[in-house]
Amino acid sequence: MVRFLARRLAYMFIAFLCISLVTFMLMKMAPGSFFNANFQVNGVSAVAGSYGVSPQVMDALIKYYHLNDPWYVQWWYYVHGFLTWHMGTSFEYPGTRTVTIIDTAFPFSVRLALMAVATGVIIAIPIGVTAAMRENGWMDVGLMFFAMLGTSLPAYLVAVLLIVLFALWLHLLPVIGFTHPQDFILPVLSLALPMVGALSRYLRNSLIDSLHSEYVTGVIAKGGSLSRAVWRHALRNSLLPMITVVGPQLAGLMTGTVFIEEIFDLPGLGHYFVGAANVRDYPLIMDSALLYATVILAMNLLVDLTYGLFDPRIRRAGDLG
Amino acid sequence: MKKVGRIVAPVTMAAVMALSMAGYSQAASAASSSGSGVFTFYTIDDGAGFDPALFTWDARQSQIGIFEGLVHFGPNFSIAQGIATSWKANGTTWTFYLRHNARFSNGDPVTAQDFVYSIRRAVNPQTAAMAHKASSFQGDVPIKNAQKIIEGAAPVSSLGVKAIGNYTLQFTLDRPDPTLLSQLATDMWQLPVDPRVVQGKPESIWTNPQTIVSDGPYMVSSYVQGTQEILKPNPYYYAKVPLQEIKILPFSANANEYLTYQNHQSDTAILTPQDVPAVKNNPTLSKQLHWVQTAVSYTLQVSPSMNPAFSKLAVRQAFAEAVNKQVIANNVLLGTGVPAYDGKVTSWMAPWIAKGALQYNPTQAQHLLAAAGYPGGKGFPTVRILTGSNPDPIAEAVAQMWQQTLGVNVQVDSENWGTYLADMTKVLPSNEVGFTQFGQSAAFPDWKTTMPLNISGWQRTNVPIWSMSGGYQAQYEKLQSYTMAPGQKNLESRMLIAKHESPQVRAVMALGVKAQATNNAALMQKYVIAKNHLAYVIPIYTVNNAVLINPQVHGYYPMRMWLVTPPVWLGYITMN
Amino acid sequence: MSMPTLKKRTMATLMWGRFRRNRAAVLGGAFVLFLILCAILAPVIAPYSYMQSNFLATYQSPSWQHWFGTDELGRDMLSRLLFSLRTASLIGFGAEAVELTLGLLVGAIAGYLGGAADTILMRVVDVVYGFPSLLFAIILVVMLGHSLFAILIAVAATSWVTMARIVRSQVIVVKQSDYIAAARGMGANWWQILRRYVLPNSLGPIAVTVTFGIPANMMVESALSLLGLGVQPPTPSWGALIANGEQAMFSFPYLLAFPAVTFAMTLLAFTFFGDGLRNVFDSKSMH
Repeated sequence: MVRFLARRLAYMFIAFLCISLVTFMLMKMAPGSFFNANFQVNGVSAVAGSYGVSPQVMDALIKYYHLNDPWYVQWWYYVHGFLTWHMGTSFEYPGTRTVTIIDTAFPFSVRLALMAVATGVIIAIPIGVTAAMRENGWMDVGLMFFAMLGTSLPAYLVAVLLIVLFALWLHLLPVIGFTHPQDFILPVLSLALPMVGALSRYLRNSLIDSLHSEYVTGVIAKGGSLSRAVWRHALRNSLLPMITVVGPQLAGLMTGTVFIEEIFDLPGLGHYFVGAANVRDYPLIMDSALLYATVILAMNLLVDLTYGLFDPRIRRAGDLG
Repeated sequence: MKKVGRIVAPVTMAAVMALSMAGYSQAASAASSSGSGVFTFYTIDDGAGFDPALFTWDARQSQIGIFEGLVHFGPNFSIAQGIATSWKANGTTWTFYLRHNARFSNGDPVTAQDFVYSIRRAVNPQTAAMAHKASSFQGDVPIKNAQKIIEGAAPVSSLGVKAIGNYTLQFTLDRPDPTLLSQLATDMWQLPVDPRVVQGKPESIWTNPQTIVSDGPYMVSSYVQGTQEILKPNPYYYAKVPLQEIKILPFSANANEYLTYQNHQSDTAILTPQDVPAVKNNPTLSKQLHWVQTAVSYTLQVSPSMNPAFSKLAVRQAFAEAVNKQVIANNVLLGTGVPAYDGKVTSWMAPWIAKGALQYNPTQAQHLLAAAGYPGGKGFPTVRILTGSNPDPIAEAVAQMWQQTLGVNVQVDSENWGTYLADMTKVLPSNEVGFTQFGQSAAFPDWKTTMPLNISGWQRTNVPIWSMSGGYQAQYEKLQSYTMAPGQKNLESRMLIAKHESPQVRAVMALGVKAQATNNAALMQKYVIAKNHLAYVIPIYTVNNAVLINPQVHGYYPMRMWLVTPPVWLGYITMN
Repeated sequence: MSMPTLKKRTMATLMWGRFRRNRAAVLGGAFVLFLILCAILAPVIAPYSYMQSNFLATYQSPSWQHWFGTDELGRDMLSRLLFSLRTASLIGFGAEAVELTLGLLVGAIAGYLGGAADTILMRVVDVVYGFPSLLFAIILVVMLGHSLFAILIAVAATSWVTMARIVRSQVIVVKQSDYIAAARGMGANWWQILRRYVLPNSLGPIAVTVTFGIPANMMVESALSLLGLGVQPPTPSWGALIANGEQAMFSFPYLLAFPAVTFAMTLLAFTFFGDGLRNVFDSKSMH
């Protein structure tokens, strides 16, 4: 087990280096650079406010950010800075270290994702249970139709529909903001509803399997009620494996919050990333991409490990194809 | 941005303002305020910190009420007393008499020495260099020795600003400048910082509310970048502060201010074009709708190209006359724009401009193009419009108009910001010509300040550069990429332009310089119109903000120089 | 030789019968087919040009002239929707084709050869799996520009690994079965085995993955447009239409309703269709 873990961690580190290299290359290949951009704006009297810096300041900046060094040196500065958690300052917010931005923005995104997963699970359980108990009844068919609807729609489309429903028709919920708890209802629901579909379908099928198992049919035959059988026996068996469904969903949500952050104008890391990509803010692009990559790699590892717990064959084989 | 040479025309200005600000007739009734209420509004937060020495959006927030300089704008862009209660001008010497009871938010008194320190700090190029930003002193106010200090040729202590005693401040200028007060009200470098707090401190103190010390009616109480900012009254302010709190939400293209306003989360909202009909159809909201014409205009400028098609005056004019600006303003922008005829001289500043400028005239446009050798657009190179936003419906509308009227093939390149800026300086190949989209804005509410002061200043703007033929433009771009002393680079660029710019452009520029030197209003008008007829720049529309304002808010005089039109002075805002 | 043919036909009939009984799946499949037809025939059936503006008819509500109304430039929304279907299909199917090719190649080679080749290929797959895919697509579009091809690449760049993993696991299962051993004993080389036995037997899961992959690609494409990184205007895209409609929902709700509802229906149709396919193949493997 320890050797397996060590090997996986080593792979993870190599993957991390590869990802950082590819991201760095792509970023560098994108046309335009932040400082070039600002200099041009200075020359052409753009909208008030986009004033550039003097050539002297530019030279100082280029030196400060190692922009004239060979590419591998620049790349290593980013990777090293990230690994030691001593990242430099962003181009766009020169008074602020990227770590400061990440410190507030990333927990925000994570909180959003976790709240969405929790909400998703909480909504999925009663739906899954109800559907399983009324197997093939109209209730089951109806609920599963809505579950299917959920799985097929992307979060941002759900968000738009929710805005129309709650803000436009019902005038119920605030649509913009992130200071009050009620501000989070719509973003969290937008992320949770598409997930409810997958979770409740999984739960329903798994519950039905256990309800058909000899043990549970036995319990019911002995006079136990169906709902008791579900809540006491079947659900317990079905909930734990649900982690294998929730895990990948959570990994997807880590970057999936980007669009929701854009639609609801929330200051999450995805929001900063999109802005940084637009203006070629290299440090912020690199640091946020590396953070996302690390989290995704770690989640993948975690999911594999939990699979391993459920299926010893995988643990022995050492990897999951 | 060039705001070189300007003459105040207070009478004209007041008249224009009064006309277009009819919606803001409530008087500033600060005296009757109850000292309570929370005012929430959107403005730009760029996360750059509130340092008034730097040119940032946050510093502009500093300017409208977190800091208080010598003077600030009042209703209708009048000059209101700030820390200076009176002033007098004597040729090139200006003397300001400061109030004795002004204090920073930490209790320190605001003295003339503090102003000297702060202005020297802003002018000193080291300050901006250390902060990796641009200085808020853009070098266009003729304070003695300022230019030399910026170029590093004179010590900062030689700046023509000195304290006479604790409460008298004296400016010495290179030449008489009647617009000084208006510049002070517009600029951030005149805001006093507390030397006891700022000296030797890193730039990061300007993003931390605990370390920001200001002298305006409000101080930063809490600040989370891109999230929310709360201002509280400065306890040491010399007068009663009307509100108990001001909440600033970060402006963003994604934030639907209309929804926020409807949910009572904000007291103002700048509407998107599409939201205007919904508001107009709502009997309650339509009464809270105000129109604010800004100084910001959407323009298309001829891009550098190896193809000489646009070096013909007739061709450029054909393109200018083929755009139906009125239809764009009314039908596409639904009133949130008004036709523009110059990048900086808006029709609310200079109502005469619409008459003299090139007009929408499709038949004449077709004739002009045909006469230039492209009948029905035949043989004309592909026209590319480069813009920095996706989608850009205005660029698409203009493309359609050119296609439909002139028969030319037009392609819109809606790029993300970084690509847009990179592509802007590329010289197009010989089978293409193009336009680049620019937002332009006047720095002052006075069209006469847009005159060119001298030839070398003008030569740093786009038009003369882009009036050179493609080969020289390429040479110019190459020159910009060289590493050489900035002075040398400027000199060589200027020489290149002087040699190869179009003689038509040169003649118009000479007219402008002459108009400014002789202070002749008729000549100035002639210059603005002549520039329009050159058609190197095709102005499309001036932003006309549809603003919802909570009827309980009084004293909101919009800062029309800025796209998001915040109040000119937060100290005027009261709520009942 | 007649035996396998007969067997195949009965199998197909059996599967079709099973699929036909799932009404939702049939409906979904029919709708998908209808959409593909619309996308192909867009230039013929669209009542107007998707780019031709009529500035005197901007923001028209739905009417007999313009069934779905007109947008801010007076362009017919029905025509724009039909052409956005084309964009979505090109990217949805095109990116899926790229994913399928790459996934099949990598998965089949890794699964069949095993050993070092497998390890190396799967490590590559793992690396790509670690990419923050949406952010990666954003950087790719920023770098490559907004051509249809660039977006296609950005969409497919990271999603092929799922296919590779599925193919590989299928190949491993099939490889171990007896008839493969028999074929190998009869001297068939690896390519023949792969083509004749392995791939046909993995068809089910692959088909299901493809069916779910296409709408997923469409979602990424429209999400990119939502961020202003979609196809170059005036080419319409679903995401851009929805984003535009969202802006206009207070005054002109139809600008949001038509694209949002048709997009939702399309995605739903794919899901139902894919679900039906999965049931068919699942029950097949059970037999």
